[in-house]
Amino acid sequence: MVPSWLLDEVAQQLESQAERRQMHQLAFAANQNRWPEDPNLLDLYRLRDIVQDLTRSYRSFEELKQGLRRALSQAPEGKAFIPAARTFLKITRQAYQGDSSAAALPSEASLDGFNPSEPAAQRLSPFETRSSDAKSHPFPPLPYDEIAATLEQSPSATRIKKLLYAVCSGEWSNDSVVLGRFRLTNLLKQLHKMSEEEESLHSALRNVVVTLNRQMEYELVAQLIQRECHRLYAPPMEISHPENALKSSAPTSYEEELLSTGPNRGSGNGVDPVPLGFYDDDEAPEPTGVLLPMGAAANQGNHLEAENLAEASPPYASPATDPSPEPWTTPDYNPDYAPSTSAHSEPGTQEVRTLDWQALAELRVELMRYANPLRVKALMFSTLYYPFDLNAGGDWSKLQTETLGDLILRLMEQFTSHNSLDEQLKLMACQLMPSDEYGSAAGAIARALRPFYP
Amino acid sequence: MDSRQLLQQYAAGQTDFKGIRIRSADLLEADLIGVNFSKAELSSGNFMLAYLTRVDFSETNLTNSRLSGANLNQAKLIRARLNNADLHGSSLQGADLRGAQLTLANLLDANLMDCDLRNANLSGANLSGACLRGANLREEGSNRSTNLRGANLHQTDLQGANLSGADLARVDLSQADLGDATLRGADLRGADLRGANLSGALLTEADLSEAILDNASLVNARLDRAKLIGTKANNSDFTSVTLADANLKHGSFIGSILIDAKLARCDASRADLTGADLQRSILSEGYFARTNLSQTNLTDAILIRAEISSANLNGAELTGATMPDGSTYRR
Repeated sequence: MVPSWLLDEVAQQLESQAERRQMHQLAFAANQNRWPEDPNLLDLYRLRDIVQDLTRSYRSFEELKQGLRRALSQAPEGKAFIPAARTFLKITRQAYQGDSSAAALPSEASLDGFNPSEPAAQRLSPFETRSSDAKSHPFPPLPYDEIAATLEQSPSATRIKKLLYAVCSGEWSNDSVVLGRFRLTNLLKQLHKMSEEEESLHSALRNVVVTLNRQMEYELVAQLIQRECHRLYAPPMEISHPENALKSSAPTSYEEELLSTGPNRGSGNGVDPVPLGFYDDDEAPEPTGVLLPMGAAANQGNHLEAENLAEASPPYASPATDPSPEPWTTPDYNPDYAPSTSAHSEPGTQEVRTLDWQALAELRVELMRYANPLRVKALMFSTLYYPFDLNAGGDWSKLQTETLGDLILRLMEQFTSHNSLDEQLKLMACQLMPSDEYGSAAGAIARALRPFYP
Repeated sequence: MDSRQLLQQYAAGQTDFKGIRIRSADLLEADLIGVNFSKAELSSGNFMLAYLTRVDFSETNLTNSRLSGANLNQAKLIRARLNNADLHGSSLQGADLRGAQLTLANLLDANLMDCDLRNANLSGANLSGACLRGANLREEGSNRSTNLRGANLHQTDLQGANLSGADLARVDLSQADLGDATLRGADLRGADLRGANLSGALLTEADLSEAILDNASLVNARLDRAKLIGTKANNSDFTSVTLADANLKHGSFIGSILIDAKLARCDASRADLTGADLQRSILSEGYFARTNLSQTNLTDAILIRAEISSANLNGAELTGATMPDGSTYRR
């Protein structure tokens, strides 16, 4: 983890540059894999926070450069952003001290993956979300865009996307980066393709909703989706059947997205999404529950899928190719929710488990029993964000907004291996006073979370 | 005396500070283990992250004090005044808080395991994320019970806690863990129990009228003679629940699971059980006047002497059910 002071310094340097606005846009795009079309959007994200996220997501300077290249490909006038990208890399290089790839200064060559003269369609990244099949469509277009626009207006837009993503991909994600890679329109297309009948749409949504801890809220979300999607199931005289409309030799952009990013059980084979014990808490840090055992996606894939998986570059590597499974997928395996796609599981692959509320409650009890709850929270907060200051009123207010349970989940989401978690906790404990008290809290947290890591 | 003198005297070995008066004391992270502060005036003091285990704060005024992260394990806080105190992330395991005044106190993420909270006043307190496992909040004597009116108990861990006779009317208990808790005779009228875990809870004679229990789990819970008048418990799990002699009038149990439930002599008149799963349930002598039992699964249910003449049984599955006259229903 990059020390807080260094991040401050990098952010300060970036802010002092003439191209700071462009760098802000690029950093945002590299972080969220979407271009900030709305100029007001950037105001919601501090450059420092974005840089911090980037250093966590892109573990090496080389990866960051690749991320910037992708961001440039999304920029409306990519060439105009190249100087800003170079300056950005030059400054953020400091955050990658010790990384050999950061030793070389970024040059024009370091951005050679971007060719502004290349047609936009060919510049699509594996996660590109623009669809391009509308013009060649031989049937009257279905109102996916309209439905998506309506749903995006809803106050529950985030939950709508999470639910649609879970139904379509077979995995739950609260990760805004993951979700940001998918357009709602494409998710709707995929959902429609998977659910030929309106009734099966209901079942598909319901199957996921019943596995959530916020069933009530998501039931309403599911109802909203169903209501809006009703027009997709109008009589054939009015609208051509989606199966025909969507059948094409080329995969949809959604399929490309999924093929590029991981488990894809549902698409194309008519398999309904398999419910798992998803844990979701919108106010809380949210874990991702992956439905498939690691490697299952690769097992069921074809050549195209394998190629795309191979092309996917970090940090978006598919779980199928990621040697270190996300920790929050491991705890508390519930056999009742075991994927029915056992045929896809390879012998010896690791079973994926999810953290349910009961496991979380036990974790909280264990931490409270053996450590001071406030110190535990302060240490978790410091490890996740920045060193907690006992005398800063703002820090107290922030700590009040997150429960211990929230912080546990966020920590598990953030750290993919127990070793790195343990190291960071100890490191942060040394920075807080009294360090022996925080050291003790660090030990308690590491011990309590140990069983949840592979 | 001021805070500095207090610490000096404690360092010199004195532990009895009964009746001491220090307003706005600054005792941040102070080590005052085992001190006697009973009947002291310590309001608006700063005790953040202080070590206060086994301290005697009986009848002490700690109103508006800052006790975040303080370690108060096994402390005596009998009839202490902690109104509006900040106890965020504090540890009060095994503390004696009988009759304590905790109105509007902030107990976010506090450890209240095995605490004695009988007769305590927690009205308007924030107990979100707090752990009250094994805590005792039961009604004490005939005069008063633990007051939790207006308290926030969202996601609070109350597993195994004793809340007999507790006043939980209109309290937010959504997603709270009340597994194996004792809630005998508790007042839960209008309480929000959505998504709560009440598995194995003892709710005999509890009043759950107008409470919301949607998506809650009540597996193996005991609700004998409980009042569920106008209760909304849609899509909830009542598997193997005991609701004998319970009053379910006007309640809504749409889509709920009541497999193996014991509903003998219950009054479910005008209740809505549309689509409920009542397989093997015992409904003997139950009163189902104008009850909506449409689309229910009553396979192998026992309905001996039950009053179902005015119930709506459209689309109900009755195969193998023992009907009111003792005959077995055959398709």
